[in-house]
Amino acid sequence: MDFLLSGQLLFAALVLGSVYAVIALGLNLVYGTMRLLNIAHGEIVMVGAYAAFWGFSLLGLSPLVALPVVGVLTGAIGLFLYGTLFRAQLAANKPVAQLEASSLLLFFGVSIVMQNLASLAFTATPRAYQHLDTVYQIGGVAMTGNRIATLVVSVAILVAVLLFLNRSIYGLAVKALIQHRDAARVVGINVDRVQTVSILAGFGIAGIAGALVSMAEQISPFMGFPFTIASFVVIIMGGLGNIVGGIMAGFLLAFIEIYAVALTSANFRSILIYGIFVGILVLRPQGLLGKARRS
Amino acid sequence: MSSPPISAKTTMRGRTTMSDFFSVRDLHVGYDEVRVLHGVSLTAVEGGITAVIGSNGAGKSTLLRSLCGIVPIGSGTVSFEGRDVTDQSAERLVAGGISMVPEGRWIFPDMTVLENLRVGAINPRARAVKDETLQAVMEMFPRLRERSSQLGGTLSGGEQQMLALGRGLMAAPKLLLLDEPTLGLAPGIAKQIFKILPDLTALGLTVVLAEQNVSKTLSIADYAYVLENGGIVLEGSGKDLLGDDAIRTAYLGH
Ligand SMILES: Nc1ncnc2c1ncn2[C@@H]1O[C@H](COP(=O)(O)OP(=O)(O)OP(=O)(O)O)[C@@H](O)[C@H]1O
Ligand SMILES: [Mg+2]
Repeated sequence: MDFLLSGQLLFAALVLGSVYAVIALGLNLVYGTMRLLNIAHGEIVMVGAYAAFWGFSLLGLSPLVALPVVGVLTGAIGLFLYGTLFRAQLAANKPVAQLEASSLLLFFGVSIVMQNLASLAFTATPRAYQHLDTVYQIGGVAMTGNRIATLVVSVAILVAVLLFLNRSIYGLAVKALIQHRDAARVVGINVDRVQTVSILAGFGIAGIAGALVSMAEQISPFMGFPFTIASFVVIIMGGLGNIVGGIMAGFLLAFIEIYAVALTSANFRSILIYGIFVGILVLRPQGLLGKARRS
Repeated sequence: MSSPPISAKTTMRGRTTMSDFFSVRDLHVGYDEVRVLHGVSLTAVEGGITAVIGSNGAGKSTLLRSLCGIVPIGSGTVSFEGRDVTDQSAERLVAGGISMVPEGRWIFPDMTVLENLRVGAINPRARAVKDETLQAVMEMFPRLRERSSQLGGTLSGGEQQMLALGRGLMAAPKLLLLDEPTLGLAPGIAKQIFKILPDLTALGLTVVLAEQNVSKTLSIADYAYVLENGGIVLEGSGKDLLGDDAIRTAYLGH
């Protein structure tokens, strides 16, 4: 059992945790501010991954350099979907249950469309590329450059978003909208603008996470679904709309996953994640780390 | 000691002119299937307290919510500082100087007291003077200063009401809409809140107050309207209504 204490597993868990935390943060921003259940969230990760892949393969662009462009690209997809599918519904102050239900169906459609478009355009064959794959030995732990970069960039995104939410008056407006929509309107917050920023940020960072993931893993048109599931598990664990809870839950899920897989085998990964999902929904639907937010 | 009930309609026509600070004319408001307000007209006493009293379900909250832009107005007009603001968004109304302290307080539960207050000053006019306003609010409610880093949701009911009032004031309003600020509070705290309201007008604020606590409200109101089933049935100065027989039997129980 000594291998459980190895720095190698710890590093793997931290990298995966930072990725889960970032992806789930995007989902949480969109759910928290608008009560939209984006089950196409993983497909945004996939688009970000392909954008980084093509930028690297065709233009020789390092994904790290391309991150802002990828973020803008997937953020723009979010803005487009917001403008066409959700803005009017939200402006009409539809009840939460209705927003959740209709967004689930619409995003389901979006997810299928994006998977199929990606298969048509890029074929279903998985792809990969080599970038920053030099192995560094740090404290006896072997780390590839791209995994170190993933950890650093992800943590930087998490810190930046938390600072924004807690320090800036616009960040407070985002938190206010998450916590009490009508009160946010009463104090004079421009709700449409906060929603626009939230969907831009939520989709943007999902795309950036995809670009990061693409440096170290195979990508395919169907790579999104596991990320969708993992990020839903994470935000439910952390308490829907609870930003800090979601970040902690991202790391928690990664630690459970990495260590449980190390003890058993990779075949159990899906069972484990679905098991946690169902377990939380049954035993503690308000989340492990936070109380459920009111509408 | 009784003043005759005055028909809302006839008086309104005389009182409402575009030079009024804040007035509402023939307001109709409803929700999807329910029509709640049927032609409400009123004028706020500039720099004073104007009360709207009425029992449960009369439409007081619907009225104030429509005036601050969070429930859409069906028909009628609202004028503020001589301008028609009927269809303005909540954001623009707040920016223009109308601030609401909603029934049920609606504070942000997972934000600290200080964050709740800061976000109250999000409109540009208020942001320019936020430090001074914060100072004044903390002086008015020393309890908020003591609790400034505590989460809003952990405050007692009375403290939450102070926070809601403070947040409303942080918007640097000219007109403050107060919806049942003493609802569910212990009598001692309710008394404290009623004592603060006249101070607000001393600062130059105009207050529109919806309340069910009729005797306390009428004793501080410069002018009052009685709302029943979505219509104004009676109006007059606070003092006159306190002595009105119909009010005494219907609302004061004697
Ligand atoms: N969101 C809503 N949707 C549908 N009907 C509503 C809604 N809010 C209020 N109503 C209805 O409008 C009517 C007036 O309610 P309102 O809350 O304005 O009364 P109120 O005078 O503030 O009462 P209270 O003193 O109990 O606060 C009631 O019949 C109520 O059921
Ligand atoms: Mg009410």
